[in-house]
Amino acid sequence: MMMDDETLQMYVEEAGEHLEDIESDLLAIEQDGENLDEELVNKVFRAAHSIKGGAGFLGLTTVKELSHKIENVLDMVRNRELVPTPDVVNVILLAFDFLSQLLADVGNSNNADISEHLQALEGLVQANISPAEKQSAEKMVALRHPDGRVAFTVSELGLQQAAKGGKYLYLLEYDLIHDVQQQDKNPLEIIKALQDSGEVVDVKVDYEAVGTLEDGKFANRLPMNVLYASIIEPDLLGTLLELDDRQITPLEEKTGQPAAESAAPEKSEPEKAASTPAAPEEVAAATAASPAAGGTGNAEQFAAPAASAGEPPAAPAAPPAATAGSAKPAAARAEKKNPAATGGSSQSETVRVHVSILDQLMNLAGELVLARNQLLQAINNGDRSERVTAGQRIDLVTSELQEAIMLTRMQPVGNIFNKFPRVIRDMSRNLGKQIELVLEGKEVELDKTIMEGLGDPLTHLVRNSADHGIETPDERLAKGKDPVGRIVLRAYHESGQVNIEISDDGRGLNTEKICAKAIEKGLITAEQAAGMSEVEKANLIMMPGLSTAEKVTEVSGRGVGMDVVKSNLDKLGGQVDIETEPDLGTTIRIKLPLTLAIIPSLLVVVGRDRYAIPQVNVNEMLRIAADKVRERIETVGDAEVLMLRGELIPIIHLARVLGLENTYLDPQTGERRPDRRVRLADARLDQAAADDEPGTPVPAEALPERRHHYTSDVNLVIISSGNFKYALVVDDLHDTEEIVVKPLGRHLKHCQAYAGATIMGDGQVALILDAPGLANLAELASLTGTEQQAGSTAGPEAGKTTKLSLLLFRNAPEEQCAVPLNLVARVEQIKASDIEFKGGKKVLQYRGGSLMLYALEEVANVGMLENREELIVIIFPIAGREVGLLAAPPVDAVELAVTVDDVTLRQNGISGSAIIEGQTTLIIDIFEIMETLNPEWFAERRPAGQEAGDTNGPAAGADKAVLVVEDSDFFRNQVKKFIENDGYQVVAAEDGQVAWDYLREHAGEISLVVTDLEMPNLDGFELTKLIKEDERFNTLPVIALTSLASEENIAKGKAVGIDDYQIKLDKEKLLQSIAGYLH
Amino acid sequence: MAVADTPHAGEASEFGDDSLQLCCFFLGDLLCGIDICWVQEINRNLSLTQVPLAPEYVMGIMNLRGRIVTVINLGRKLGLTPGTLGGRSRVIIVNHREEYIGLLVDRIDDVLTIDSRDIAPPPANMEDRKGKYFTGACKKGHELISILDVEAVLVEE
Repeated sequence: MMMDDETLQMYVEEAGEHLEDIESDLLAIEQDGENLDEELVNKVFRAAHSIKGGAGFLGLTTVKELSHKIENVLDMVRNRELVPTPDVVNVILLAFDFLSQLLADVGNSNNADISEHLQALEGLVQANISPAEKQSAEKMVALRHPDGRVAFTVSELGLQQAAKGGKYLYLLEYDLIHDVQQQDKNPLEIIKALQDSGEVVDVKVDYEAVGTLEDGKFANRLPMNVLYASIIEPDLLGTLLELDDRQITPLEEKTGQPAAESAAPEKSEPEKAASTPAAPEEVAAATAASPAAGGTGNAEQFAAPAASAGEPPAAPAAPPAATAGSAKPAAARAEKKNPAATGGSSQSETVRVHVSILDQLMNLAGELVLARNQLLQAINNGDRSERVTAGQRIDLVTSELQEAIMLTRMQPVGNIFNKFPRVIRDMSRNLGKQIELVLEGKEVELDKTIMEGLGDPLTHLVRNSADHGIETPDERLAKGKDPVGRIVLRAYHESGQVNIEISDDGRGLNTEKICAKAIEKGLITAEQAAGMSEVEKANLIMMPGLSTAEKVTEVSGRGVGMDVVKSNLDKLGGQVDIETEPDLGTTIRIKLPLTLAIIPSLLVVVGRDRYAIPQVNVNEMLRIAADKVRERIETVGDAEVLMLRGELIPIIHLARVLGLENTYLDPQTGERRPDRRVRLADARLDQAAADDEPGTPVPAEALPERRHHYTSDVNLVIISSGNFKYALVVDDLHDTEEIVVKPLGRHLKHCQAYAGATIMGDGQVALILDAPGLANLAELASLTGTEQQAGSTAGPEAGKTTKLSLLLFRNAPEEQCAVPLNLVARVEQIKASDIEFKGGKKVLQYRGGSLMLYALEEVANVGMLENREELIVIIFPIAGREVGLLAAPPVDAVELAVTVDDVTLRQNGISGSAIIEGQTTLIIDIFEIMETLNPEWFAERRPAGQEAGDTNGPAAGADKAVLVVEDSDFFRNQVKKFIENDGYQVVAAEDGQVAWDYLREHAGEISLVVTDLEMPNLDGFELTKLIKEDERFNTLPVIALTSLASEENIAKGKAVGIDDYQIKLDKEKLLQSIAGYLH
Repeated sequence: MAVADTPHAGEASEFGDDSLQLCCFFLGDLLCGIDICWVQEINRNLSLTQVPLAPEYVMGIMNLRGRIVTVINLGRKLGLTPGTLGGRSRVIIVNHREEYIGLLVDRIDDVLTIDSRDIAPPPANMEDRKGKYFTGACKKGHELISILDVEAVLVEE
């Protein structure tokens, strides 16, 4: 039999509240071990107790039994008879878990099998009590009313325990009909009140006493028996509980011994006990009186306890089942599943709101009504100033109302955090690790929707930290770390966002491994990897298709990768950052917006419409004055890029992406007109294009042309989202506004440019732009999705970042050129007048001889050398002679990591381009220039080399073909050329696999291998390994080329048998090294 | 201006259970009708926001008392003369799978009650592409009303 649904629902909710903190409390108890915090144990004990109390009269026998056993164990802990070791706490935790399950499905709880838990709990009790106590635990006593009815059958030990601390034992009898129902009270409240001043040992509703209609003993009463232990003295209790003295039966002896009858343990049913013959030792009642109907005592009016004062009562009305399906179970704790078995009520989503917020809302609603009245009056009166005042007031009240309503959706992040101590505890047990979890900032609040989406990603991250981050104690000791690992979960506010950090002091991410894996899976190329910073490498872990778990463990190997975490967080508008340091640990930082429903956004105009860009994606806004456009915006290939503080940012034209017409504001008419420029740097007027002299200061007012008017300025919004960063060109920038996000309809779901729509103040609809979607649409220079995610090459040029030493110089004034510094012999300053033109060639008298001079434009299609007196000559040793390349100052030598784009600007004599010091710089291929101009120099050498190779002659470089393995075209050609230039035959291969195939086919022809390390398919290490393990090749010297020889790589290389390391393009040393091996 | 009470509501009994109320409108010169059960309201708010990159038949989005409603150019969707925003054009708001969708029509005609037994299958010579959007046609007076299949029209492409 069941109580009504409402009471049951209340009980379940309350039990849920009790269970809420149990986990963390138990974990704290476990941590304290023998240094017991009694208050804490008491708290848990009380929780178990309350659950038991309620279950007793609701007829939830299983729940009652389980909570009772838990209570017993906790009582022993409290009395320091049982040390809360991890094992003990484990049993208790599992029991509480099961209790939660039972409560989640109360209707079927009585059918659940709890024997396993009971046994485990019983085991704990049995193992830790004295034989005497054991005996008394098995000995059951029946407690009787003065009239002989058996109220309870409890173990003697239980009775003793209850009476500990000088408590009096009472048998109370409430009549649920007269004392409770008719007084408009609630049995749960009564129990609660009892618990405030004592301890409810057991509760039972005596349904038998009701009798049946058939036997004619219908008693019109429903007694509820309470076994109560309290320090309150018998004469006071009646007054306190407002119970008639007849309903209180003090049990005389605390042991219950003289007052209770010994009953056989199997007779657990009081009804059975009642049917046994009169017992020798009858419970002596101090006041024997008929507990019959009509209790005269007015029961105390129980006020709701302070703790729940701020909470709205549970909604008793059940919504129709149809809507329940959409309710999210993870929502609030208060919400509990109510199975169909109990009928009627079904799941509903509720939120706990502090009364003060509700009050505030009431106040604001009141103000809104007043403001409305004021407005109506003002409209009727036609009073303008009054209308303005009313408008302002409504504005104010609305924003406050909005804030207050948002507050009702806010929940402390602790709701999620609190489950992690248990997670970590269980994991550390399973993994044999020692982990300490520190929670900070539990009070930080987040929107309910965000919280719901945050749980899973956060769990995944925390589990990852515990599983992969924290090492085993032995490993940690070996590293000189504290054997106890530490995971810190921290939430804090920062610039209008909530940050959540998960940091551990574990082994850190193995960025090399991540990188290698990403390359192996083809997510990035080796070149990209080589140019990546540690942070970028670490962030690779979030790319789809990359799971770094070396071995799939029980804990984290569930097929869920970090990419899922990232995409989940993306949905919430969150951003993820990873920082890691080997052996120091990993920190993952999640930035989340406070809410998703209302977001601050920047409004921009394109064409005739307004668009909103979420502020979270906006880095900065930029207005480039019309006459500065040429300096700030460059064109690389057919892509426009913005130079911003040394960074190169691709430009996306919003109008072009959306297929709209650009417009500008005509300064004369104030109208928007179509803008016909193709490139931003193009002048607006055709005739102005030719004579436009950049750098010439022109007073803007002096010229009526549009290009000097402010409306010709270029408006840019720098947008970043995830790993994208781009500059969005818009027609006009407006204000920042808080906008309410509304979803778009089904027909527009394929438009990836939008994140939704919003309604502006004038009632018009504006679309909200989706930052990543726009980048996809614009195809950010055709990078594939994965490359975009890698974020290594946000710019339009593909290529790899490499550390290079370059000599910078100019040819045409605006054209910066560079040549690898190590190819240069000397740089000389000369005067143009010193150049002699002899035999159709330019010559310079130099060091007692003639130096041939060449200019870049003789080969490459570049601007003419600046016509000036002061020139420089860059002298290169080529093909056994020295040649000079004419150039214009200034010259500069730089060493920097650059990304060489060997596609866009590639032409004869130019091996590619790179952005250096904010300028697009041509990289000169001096070998190609000389080869073009003087093919005979190379023709001479080539056949010689070939011949020597064929005849095994003694010439330098004879039979000594060098295999150059390098995946970057730029470097392969450079290296190949200067090795060739030194008289060797060179065979080039673009990766390790090609090289290896070649080697096997031409086993005898190669006498030395020069290889890059980072390559696709087969990297340098693997190639070397193959070579050294093959007996045909194991004497073959292998020289590795790196952009930066790191200690780690060198050690790794030596291990697989790499003979020497050389820096890429350090020509002299490489040639020396080659010579050293081949001569 | 919502269609609250239609003047023909009383005629329903005339045809018994087989009666059908059609909300009729013009697409160019074509008189079409849809079952009035679909219609939430008829709106003359024509301030649409264009949605670049949207399917061609999407005219734009509008604000319907705080809801964002996608407005479909019915003429274009059916492969007829695309509708234009003019003095007599209206947006019929239909409720389709719990979403409000606007159908732009050139002119609203009337609400007619017809006997569903009078509905003939769509003329066989109607082009396939157009044909799939119509469930049938019926004669009312001297005019022929083509009955639109709203479900088919609103399937996203």
